[in-house]
Amino acid sequence: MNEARRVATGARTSTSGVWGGRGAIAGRTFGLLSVAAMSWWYFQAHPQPSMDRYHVQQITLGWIAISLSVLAAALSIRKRLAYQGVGKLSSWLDVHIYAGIVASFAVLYHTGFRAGGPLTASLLLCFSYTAVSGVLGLWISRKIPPLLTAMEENPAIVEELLETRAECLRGMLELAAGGSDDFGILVERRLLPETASWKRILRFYRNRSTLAQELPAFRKDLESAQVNLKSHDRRGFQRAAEYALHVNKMNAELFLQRILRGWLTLHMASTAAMFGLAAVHIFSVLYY
Amino acid sequence: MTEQEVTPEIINVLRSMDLFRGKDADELTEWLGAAPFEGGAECALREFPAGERIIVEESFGNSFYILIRGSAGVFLGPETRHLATLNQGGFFGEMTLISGLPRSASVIAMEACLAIEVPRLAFEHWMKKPGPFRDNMDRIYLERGLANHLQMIPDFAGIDPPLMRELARKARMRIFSKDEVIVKEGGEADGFFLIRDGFVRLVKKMAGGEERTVAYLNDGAYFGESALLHAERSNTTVLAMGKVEVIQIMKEDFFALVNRDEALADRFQERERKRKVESSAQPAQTALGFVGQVVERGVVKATSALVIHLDACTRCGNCVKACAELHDGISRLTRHGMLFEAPRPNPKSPLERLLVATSCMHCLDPECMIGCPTGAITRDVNGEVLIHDSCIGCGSCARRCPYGNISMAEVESKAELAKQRTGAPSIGAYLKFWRTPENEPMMHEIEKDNRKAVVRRIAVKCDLCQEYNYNHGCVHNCPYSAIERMDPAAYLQQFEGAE
Repeated sequence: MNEARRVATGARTSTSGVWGGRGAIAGRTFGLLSVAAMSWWYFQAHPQPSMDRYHVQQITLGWIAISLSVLAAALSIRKRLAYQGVGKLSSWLDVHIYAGIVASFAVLYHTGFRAGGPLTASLLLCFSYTAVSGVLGLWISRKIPPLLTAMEENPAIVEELLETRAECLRGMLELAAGGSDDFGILVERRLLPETASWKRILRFYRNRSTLAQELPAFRKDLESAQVNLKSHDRRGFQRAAEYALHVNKMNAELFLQRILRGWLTLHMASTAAMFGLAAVHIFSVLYY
Repeated sequence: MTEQEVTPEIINVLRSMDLFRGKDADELTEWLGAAPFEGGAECALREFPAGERIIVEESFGNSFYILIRGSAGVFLGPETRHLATLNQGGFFGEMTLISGLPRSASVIAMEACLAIEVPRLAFEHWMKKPGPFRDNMDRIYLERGLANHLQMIPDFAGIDPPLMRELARKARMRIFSKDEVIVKEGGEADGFFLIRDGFVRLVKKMAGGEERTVAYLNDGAYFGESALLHAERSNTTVLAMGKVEVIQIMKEDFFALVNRDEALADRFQERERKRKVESSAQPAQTALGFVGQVVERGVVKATSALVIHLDACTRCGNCVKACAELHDGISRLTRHGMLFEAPRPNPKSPLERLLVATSCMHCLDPECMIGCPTGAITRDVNGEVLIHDSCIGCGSCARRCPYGNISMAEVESKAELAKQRTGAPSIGAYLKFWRTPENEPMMHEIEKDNRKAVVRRIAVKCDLCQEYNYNHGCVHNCPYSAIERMDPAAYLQQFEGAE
């Protein structure tokens, strides 16, 4: 109640900055310096690819690679379990990205540019897949949101898109059920395939267009199909066409949202396999 | 305050004040007595040592003070310019409670003081009753408000205090509602206007008859001086964009002012010249459109708006998940709200889509605070609007919020929750979101998972993660830095002067 000892500073705001900030700069510097130092260390000792698998440098690089991989994997723990965790999640993502890049170089120098036996070859494959899927994920997370934003009237999550899609589909089928047979057949043969048409979906992507922008062209495409319909059915068909295009657009948005989430599943699966194989590899090196 | 605390000294001081003229001791004891509801804030006696700040300039307070003993000084600005000294029977803090604006000056105890602190709810309760308290408050609000406002405008800073007081006495405080015309284009210029609170739009009729917005002005700005100085008719229409409070200085008083202070006329002309240069230097038409949208949709009244940069948002929903996890399973934000297209200096993509998410914006003039029966919704000195445990779930704040940023939730008592908590992050399972009909009891029993539980209906809204030692769980947990809490007024500064 008493405000005497408190000093006004204004309601708290927090500007994280989009795609930038000190964290990213620090990460880039760390990545660049680490890769340069490692490359210098490796090529100075091995002008030719090394054949000595027990060389102390290779073992050290192996430990660096696994440590950085574990550090990168800690993002998952921070993201899912520790909402009150230390540090912003965006900073953790920066650490994840740059630790992953440096770990890739460490693995490369650790292998001495050779795949080795079946176990190490599988491990290298898993690691490469993890790294590539990570880079792909980064690309996706930067390229898809602007496309999605340009297309959507209102930002929606997958569950809402599914609901809207079901409603539109229901609306279209109800209109067909209430019209003549010709109308019903036309909806079934002409409009239903359009709801899942990749041609239309790609058009949305290419033009970065909204429903309102695509609707006139769609109606024009359907003009010849509705000439034999009675005027009452024609009005219904126009509305059904709008529903069909809406369903198609929902599919286009859903596909993008699934890509945004889907790449992570692949990334996580390959990461799990990589850590499993790495454990076996470390165990075999230490004990045999 | 209890009856024992209301001493004869207090009664004597109050009875000597114009505010309480005609009140007897019993009435005054009743006025200062216990809050008319359980858990509500009460009047209290406060002691302040010499040198202590009782209220802080620019802060948002919830109290009105009456000095019983000692003296306090009123100070303005960072240089703490001494404006006045208040002695026994003096009072302060009423301006913020009436207008909703931040404190316009600091009050510092000049010697050890004893004061009655009257909380917002009790003050509003007193203001509802007709009588000398309300009449005096209304008059003082006008006088002090005008004088303080004029002193805050740099162009008026150099005016002599006596002249300022004279002006304040002659000026009129006028309130306009949304879309009301304040000045009509082509109409006779009859006054000089200073905006005390709110936003106005300046509209000009173009050659083809089309009306075009030429500028937006807000608190601290003024208009009407150009037409008066050039003896012309008004060259723009000025429209209120919401509730607008303006101070009108009549034509004759304006000329008397300019004649007595020639430097002021020069400052007006300099300001007019600068405005013209700024307008012509900013060709970005979209910037003005964006500013207009922000103003028209009320976001500019926010002090901390939750903004999502949609071009960077991957729709992972981590912001909502984090918010729910940090607030007993009830998210205080939804990823819906107002969409804006903000100009940015990128030739490939000159517009950026922003979503002002549905989450409390901690408005400068929070409508939600009006009429809370228990005073459970308050504002701290920083302007952060908070709902306290005394909320009885009446839903008044949720209905008043123009942006739908307050929702009603049913929660079990925290003690009950703690008992049932297993350690797994599944707090959300214990809570429900549904609304109850208005006539249902606010605390009632529900049957859930084959057991009975007592639930309480409360209002929930973003509290800027006050309980945690970092700013904003949603921002903290966005992996792509796509979400931020920003002060729209500060953000809009980059578009200042845009045409």
